[in-house]
Amino acid sequence: MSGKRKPDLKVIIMGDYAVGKTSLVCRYIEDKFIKHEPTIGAAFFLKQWGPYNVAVWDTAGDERYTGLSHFYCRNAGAAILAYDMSNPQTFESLWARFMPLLNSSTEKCLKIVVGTKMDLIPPEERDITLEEGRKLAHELNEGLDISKLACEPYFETSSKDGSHVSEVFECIFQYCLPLSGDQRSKFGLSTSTVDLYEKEPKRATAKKGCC
Amino acid sequence: SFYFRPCSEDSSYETIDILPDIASSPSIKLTDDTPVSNRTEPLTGEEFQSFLDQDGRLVNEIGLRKAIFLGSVDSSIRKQVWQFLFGLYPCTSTKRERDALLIDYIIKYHELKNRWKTMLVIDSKPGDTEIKTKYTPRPLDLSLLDQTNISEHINTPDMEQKIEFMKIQAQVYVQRQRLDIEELKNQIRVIDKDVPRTDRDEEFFRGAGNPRLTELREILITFAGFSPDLGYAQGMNDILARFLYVMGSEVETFWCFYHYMEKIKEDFMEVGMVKKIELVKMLLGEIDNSLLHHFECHDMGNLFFCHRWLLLGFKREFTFQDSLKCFEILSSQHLELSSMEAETAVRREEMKEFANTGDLVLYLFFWLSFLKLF
Repeated sequence: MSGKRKPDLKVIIMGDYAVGKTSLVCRYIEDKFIKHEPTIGAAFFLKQWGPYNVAVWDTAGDERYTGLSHFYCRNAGAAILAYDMSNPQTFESLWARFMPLLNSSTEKCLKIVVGTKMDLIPPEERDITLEEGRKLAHELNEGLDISKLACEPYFETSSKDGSHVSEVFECIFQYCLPLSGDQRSKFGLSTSTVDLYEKEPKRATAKKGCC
Repeated sequence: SFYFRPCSEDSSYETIDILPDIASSPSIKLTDDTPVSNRTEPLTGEEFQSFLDQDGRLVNEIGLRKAIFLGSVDSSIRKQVWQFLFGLYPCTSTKRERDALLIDYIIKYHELKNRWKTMLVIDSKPGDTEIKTKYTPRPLDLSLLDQTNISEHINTPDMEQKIEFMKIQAQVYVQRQRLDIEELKNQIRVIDKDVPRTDRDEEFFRGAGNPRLTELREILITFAGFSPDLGYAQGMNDILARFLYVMGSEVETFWCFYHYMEKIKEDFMEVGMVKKIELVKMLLGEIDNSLLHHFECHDMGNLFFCHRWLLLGFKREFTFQDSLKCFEILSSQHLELSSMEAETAVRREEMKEFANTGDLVLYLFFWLSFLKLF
């Protein structure tokens, strides 16, 4: 007899320093927005998805410990690559730093690109267009069949007002650990993906997510 | 049979299907007569004075380290103690020598800071007045010396000449340092993201426009600029915050931080940190092998979760005040058993074991042959 409970899915969050990785996880898990200290090493969160356990690994943005990042990537079913929409340099980092990291360690890993801090940048001032974001996301997933993915592998979020945060996670979970409509209602989850946008915040009027 | 222990993940009890490894006992058994001291109260100012001689030299360094290890330090003398503990001043220095050293520290830091500020201004675009006003070098501030015995001589011609000479020396020292301005600008970007999120819940760092934040920033930039092999790394802000809180002044904080970083810089490099975690693993294997085995069963055998604990000395795991105590205890580097004592303890255990088996003759023979070697 053993009480071991291994998580059914491991999701890793990566991205440049201070793009809001920890804020994104905390908005999703605790539905709160607070200032966070820089993450050292990695932080671990456990989330229930229907009958499954999902482990979310929030990593440090500092680029000193690449070897450790390789370890955190191991066996990840999905990776969230976060960049700060108000800072185009952080988008470049996804190309330069994180793409090589993921290609080598996890071929079958679903990659989702997430723009953060959408509330900070008016649509007309943004440097990275929606198309560019989607393009990167699709390139990252080359060689992976994402036809079953219910949405684009690209999201634009705000952890401050909560826009599209839970959609990111639920899109990943539904792809990696599909739940039937019955299961979803049994565990109190919304039964259709359209419902996910019910509580669309006031600010996010420019775009309707990505579905 | 099963072995129960609380599971750290969800604090429920879980069953582990392995037995604790009773067969492998640690090499030193702690018995009643093993020298292990009890915890004490924090070191008081009076006790601290007893470690110094009349000229202010720290003559009982071992005593101080032991006292810190056993009971930490009363907050009223923390600054004085940390000056020795973190190498701002040598233990053998007199009060007078420390005052002289402080002038040197003030001037050197002043010149280091002016160098990167000047270079940022030179590097800026011609019309950029913001950078110019922000980074215009300030005049030398010697007010820190007011609390020292030097204060009364500070305006004598003799002293003024001395300070002039020290300034020139410091400028030569600073000019010799390598400074890559492009790299520094990258570092400043990270620093500017991290400083505003450093211990902001603490009264000391609270509030918008808190001047302490500027001090943190300038120290970190100065350090990053003149430590080309290390630069700035996330976590340094946490370490620095503790020093600034305790030392109070920017100059003393910089040099304490600088000396401390010299010692632990390997922790900020991957090889160094992995090596350190490896040591923790060995230690855990020695102290609680079944716990290590448990981690291994759960794919956590590499103990990477210790990373932050080791890097920041448990700063984020305790309240700010407790983390100060924790930091000084960890930094006391007092060994409860010195290698000699450990050796003796092992010998004593061996002797007991021999005595217990009743083979006294063999035991005596063993020791006789041992003595004959000399």
